[in-house]
Amino acid sequence: MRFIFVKELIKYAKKNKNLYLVTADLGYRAFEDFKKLFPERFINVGVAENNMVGVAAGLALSGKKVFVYSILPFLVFRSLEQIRNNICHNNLDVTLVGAGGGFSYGPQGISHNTSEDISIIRSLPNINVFNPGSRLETELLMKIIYKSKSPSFIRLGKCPDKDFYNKNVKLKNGHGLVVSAGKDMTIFTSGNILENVFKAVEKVKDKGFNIKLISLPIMKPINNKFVLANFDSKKILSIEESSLIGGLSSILPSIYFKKPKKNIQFKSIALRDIVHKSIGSQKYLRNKNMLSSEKIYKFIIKYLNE
Amino acid sequence: MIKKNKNKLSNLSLFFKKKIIEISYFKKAHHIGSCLSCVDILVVLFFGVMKHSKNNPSSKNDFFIISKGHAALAYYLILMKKNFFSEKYLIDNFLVNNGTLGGHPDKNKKLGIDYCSGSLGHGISVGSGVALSFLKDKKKNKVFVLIGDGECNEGMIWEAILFAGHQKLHNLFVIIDYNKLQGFGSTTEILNLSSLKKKFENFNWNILEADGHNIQNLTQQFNKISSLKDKPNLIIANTIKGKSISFMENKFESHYQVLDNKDYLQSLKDLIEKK
Repeated sequence: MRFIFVKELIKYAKKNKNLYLVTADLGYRAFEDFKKLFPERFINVGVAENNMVGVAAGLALSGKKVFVYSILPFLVFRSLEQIRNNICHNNLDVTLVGAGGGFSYGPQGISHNTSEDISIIRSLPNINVFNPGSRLETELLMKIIYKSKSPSFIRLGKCPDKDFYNKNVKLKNGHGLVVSAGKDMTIFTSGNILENVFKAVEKVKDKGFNIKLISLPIMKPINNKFVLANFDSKKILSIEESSLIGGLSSILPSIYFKKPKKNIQFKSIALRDIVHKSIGSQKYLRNKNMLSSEKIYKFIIKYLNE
Repeated sequence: MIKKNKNKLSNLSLFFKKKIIEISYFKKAHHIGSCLSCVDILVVLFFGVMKHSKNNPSSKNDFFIISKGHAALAYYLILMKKNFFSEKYLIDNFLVNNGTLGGHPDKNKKLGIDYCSGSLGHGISVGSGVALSFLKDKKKNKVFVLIGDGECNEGMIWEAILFAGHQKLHNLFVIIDYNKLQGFGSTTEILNLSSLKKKFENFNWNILEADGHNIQNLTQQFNKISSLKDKPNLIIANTIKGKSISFMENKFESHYQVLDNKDYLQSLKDLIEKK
């Protein structure tokens, strides 16, 4: 997804002279074109994420639209206080671009993989939290980020080969995208795990069930009305490559309890509250954590038959 | 003319010291030693060096960050004297429920507070970002950041110093309030900073030392460092924590001490004798 991100960023940098890209020495073989086109607006601060976020705040304070980039955990966990005090507290126009997310870095281990990022970032005030699941979602989110003057966070994992939408789909900030319609179950997902969820849902459909699949690439803000309107089956399922604390598995029930009219059931597939220290490919780690399309499929079938 | 200005600033400094004591006593505030340590630096900066006026559009002003945010009261008093707000406003808002002037400053353009602080170590990074932005836009504005010596323990400070030196941010002026005391005692004992001068030199900065309580010397050194080129600038202001108060001078405890009635009267006496 970072190539789509860079392509979009270059498009917007051509329109806006105040757009800056700041990196903590990462983005090799991704940012070369940006650097070539806008050498004055490409700043490599070196391997120093705390300073990167501080410098970004300074640039934004004086009117720049700033994108900061690093591998996700180095950006979010190492610089959490800088993000909180400098960016979010002052509501600055800085977008935190985190490469990876979930098990994207597979065998590189716990230092590079993340389960907690979305939950932590969501709890900060003023910030938009974006978790794209496809090429088109990334493009749509970049459009929202470009127009926004507030802080944003975007998690950029690997991009699925196929897209799930036609080109004309529209995305309003706070809303999600309906991938397929159905009344037997509503599944909410977020991020590039969408690919596996999509495959599983297709297989379930072959068994004669109708599943509504909703992708929520925007994890904050979330429009309650949009979510409530989609609680239109008896069984709700959330699926995410994120911690079960603070992600969809917490968000959806909390929205439901604002208007608990219908008698509906919630289940979730999410990353357990443990140290995810196993190594292996993203495919292997997803499978180990109930997130392969086969395991998702089996989970859905079992849930449908309950 | 210079002498007249010097006297004016010295009188201002004494006025601020009295207010620091008075307000801290009535508000039961601490961080008195920190305020007294840097108030002379602030006086020279705001009344002699920086372009910073309420009447200017903010684009004309220099940018200031008090990275050692715990010396907030000294900073608020300066802004009060700069007519951003009245003394009554300060009293009504400092350390009170729903007030605007907390123990650490929050960014507030109307009140003249360019940036927030409170957590140590952030100031030079943010200041570097503003300074870089000014240079990119070919603006003449300068950036001033007041830091403490204790906060130089923070890793972020050294990331920022390396960055500013590399980027040759010659419009960035950092002043270190070098009172050589921190949380538990002397900086030498806790985490030795010396030689601060050599360290900054190796990071490609211009460095000048100054007597942080001598208005004339501070002014001269600011003028001198402004004429240097191509590098970010550091003034090492040698200061005394708790300056001018007999029982606070050079005591790290003055960071935490809250004045009782006896302390208060003694402090006032000390300041009268200064005059």
